[in-house]
Formats: sequence, C-alpha cells, structure tokens
Amino acid sequence: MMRQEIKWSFEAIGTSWEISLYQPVTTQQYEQLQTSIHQKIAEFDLTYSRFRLDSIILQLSQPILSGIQSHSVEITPEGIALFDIYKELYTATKGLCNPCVGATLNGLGYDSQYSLTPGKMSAPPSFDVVTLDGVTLSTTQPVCLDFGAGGKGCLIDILANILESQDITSYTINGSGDIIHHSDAPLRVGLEHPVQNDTIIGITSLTQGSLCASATNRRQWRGYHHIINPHTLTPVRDILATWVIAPTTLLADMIATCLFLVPPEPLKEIAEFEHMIIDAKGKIDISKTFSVEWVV
Amino acid sequence: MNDMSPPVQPQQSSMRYGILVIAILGVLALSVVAYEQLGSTADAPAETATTESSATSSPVVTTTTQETTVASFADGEYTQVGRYTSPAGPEEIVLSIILQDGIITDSSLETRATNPASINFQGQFKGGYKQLIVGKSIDEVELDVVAGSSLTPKGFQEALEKIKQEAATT
Repeated sequence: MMRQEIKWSFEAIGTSWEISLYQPVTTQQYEQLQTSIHQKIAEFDLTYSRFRLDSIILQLSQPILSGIQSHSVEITPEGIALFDIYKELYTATKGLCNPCVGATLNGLGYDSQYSLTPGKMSAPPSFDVVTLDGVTLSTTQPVCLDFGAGGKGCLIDILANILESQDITSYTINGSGDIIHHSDAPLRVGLEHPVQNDTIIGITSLTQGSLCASATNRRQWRGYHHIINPHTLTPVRDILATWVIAPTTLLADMIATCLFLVPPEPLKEIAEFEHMIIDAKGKIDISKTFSVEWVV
Repeated sequence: MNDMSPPVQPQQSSMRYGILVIAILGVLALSVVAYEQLGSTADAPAETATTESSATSSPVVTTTTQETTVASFADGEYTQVGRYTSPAGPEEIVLSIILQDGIITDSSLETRATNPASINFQGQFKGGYKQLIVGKSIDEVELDVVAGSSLTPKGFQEALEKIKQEAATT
C-alpha cells in the first residue's frame, strides 16, 4: 500500500533501529526529534545497561561495606514501570523471570566483554533483595541486574511518548524486531523462521499496538544462549521462538521472554495479550486472535 | 511501589488450540493425526506383502505391519482434508503438498475454520535444532518489517567469530 513515509535508520545500544513517520514534519522538528531520541536512548543505556561498566545499575553489584544495610542508586522515572512489571512477573512466574540473573549470565560468558566463555555459574539471588522507593533503587546484597527481558520494550514506549508529545501520532518504531505501530494502515510484519533466518513462516498485520519477538537462535555460543532458566541454570531448550502482541511494548517484550519460562496461563493475570510460540518439537501454540497469513 | 490495580481479566476464549499438520523439510515423518492415508492422486505406498507358506510341517507366517511413519511416497501432488476437534468445535483444513523424492517441495493450506487456532507439525533435528516448516525467503514476500530475535550486537558477532576460529584450530 502506498504510504507517505519518512524513514530514519540508525544504530544504538548495539542494535539496528528504524523509525518511520507517516505524517509530514518540518526539518527543524525532525532534527529536534532525532536529538531528543538520541539523548533519551543514551540516558536509558547509561542507567539500565548491564554491558557498560559505568552504568548506574551496575553500581548495585558492588560489595556492600560492613555496617551498611544497603546500596542505593537513583534511576530515571521511566524505570518505575519497568521495575513494577518485573516484580509482577517475578511473582507470576514463581521466580523464573528474575532480573537478578545478571551475574549468572556473566558466568555463562554473556558479559560486558562478550567473552562468551562459560565459567562458574551461580543461582541469582531473590528479587526481593531489591526495592524501589520513588526513583531510589536499593539492594541489601550486591546484585547484577539484567533488564534484557523488558528494557528494549520499555525504551520503545519512551521513544513513542517523545513522538506523541510532538503531536506525531502516525509512526512505527522498530527496535530490531520489537515494534510499536500507530497508523491508519496496518503494518505487515514477517514472522522470522526461528532456524532459517532469511525466511519467514508467516505474516501478521499489526494494526495499532506493540509486537515483540524473542528467539534464541542468534545469541548462541558453545551450546549456550541468552535465555536462562535461573532454577536449573541452563538455557531454555524446549521453546525456540515467541511473538507477543500487547497493549505496550514493555509488556510485549517482557511476556515474549517469559513465555520461554512459563506457559501463557499464569501471565494472563498480568495483562491481555496475543501470542504465538514455537517449541522445539515444532508445535505452534497460537492464540485465537493472533491472525497469521502462513507462507508455506 | 506497585499500586496499579489488577488488569481486566482476559476473555475465556482467548486461547484455544486445534491441530493441523503442515509441511516438513527434509525426509519426512508425516503425522497421521489429522489425516487418513495420503495419496489421492498418485499411487498409494506399496504394502509389504504377506507371505504364508503353504502347508508344510512348520508354517512360517509373516504378518504385515502397516507402515505409519516413513514410507516411500510417489512423486506428485496430494490433497487431503484434515478434520479435527478443537475445544471450539470441529474444524477443517485442506492441505496440499507436492512431493519430489520424498521431500516436500511446495505446499499450500486452506483453512476452513473461521478462527485458525494452533498448528502442530513435526520437524527434524539438525545440529541440535529441528527443521521446521518450509519458509519463504524474505525477498519473495511483500512485507514491511520482520520480527524475530534481535540482531546480535556487533561486539557479540566479533566474539563469536573469534570462538569459531579458535574452535577450528583446536
């Protein structure tokens, strides 16, 4: 379909981004948007990344001096929603979705140096050691937090808010397969084959809302990949790929990861969503309202 | 902290499953869950002949075992209607496949259900992963974006390359 589009592609936080606007903007507006977006991404990365040694949350992994009860850092206001959804899903998944898994992932080799050399792996502490009061994030024991399950989705929602605050209501933000789309015309999204990456198995039409995909095929090394079951300390083997459509990109991103760890049922308490899951036996579980045009 | 009220309860009908069988890559084990015998337009797979000795002192009877898994299918196009019962009621699909040397080279599916539910198929392990359904090249299809696992960060890619090189020399 024909659609007037202003497309902006860039690299940020280690991946490719594409922002499309379907309404006219002035050059000045466009440049201001680009600046705001870059600034926001940089701020988010500095606050929440596990991969940069100067990040704010990484300070919580420092040893706590004796005589002191806890460490605290100040996060950004957007982190409140992120933290809250992690708390809800930590409960709903009975601890399988746990952001304290950073040290475990480091032990696997998925660290800031990308050493990809499996070493000693340890079980993550309980997420209960971490609390949030306003924007003050505290922990009673050193903890390496990993917001990989929802960080990108959260950031995409933040960027969408920037667009909306500039009266841009018709757009797509695509953070390497995690997508928010608002426009009269639906977005035709190809669902990537979880094994043969240059093929798609179907197309879904995203009308308004967020779609996130999760799969373990790309970040794999020496028999490991990046989605770990924190109870067994092994990469999840029985699920290959998930796709989720949810009211926010934060939710879609989090649930897409959680579906590697639990079935859809316990997550339905948290939010309404549509899903498609492909397991290692080749079974596809697809919710009734997730409509796919199969391409076989 | 979290003072959001609980979200609206999802609809009961939001998740139901059905069963379909679709294309498989490579040497196949076509599931007979939803189908009867394939082969409406080509020769049916030959059954193993039953042999029985005529009357001798010790008759040897060989019984036929019906092959339900790998069979040699003649090349050709096959169409079958699959019927199954989902919790939402009886549903139907029509599957067409083209077989060449025992491999599905093409297939099409017509779903007759108004709400297609879930799809079952069998794949095959290859290097630790199963081959799934035949996909179409991204270039062949008209779409706006692709959703799959996020691209690996460049640093990760480089590290992976180093590991591969290391593995090759040891």
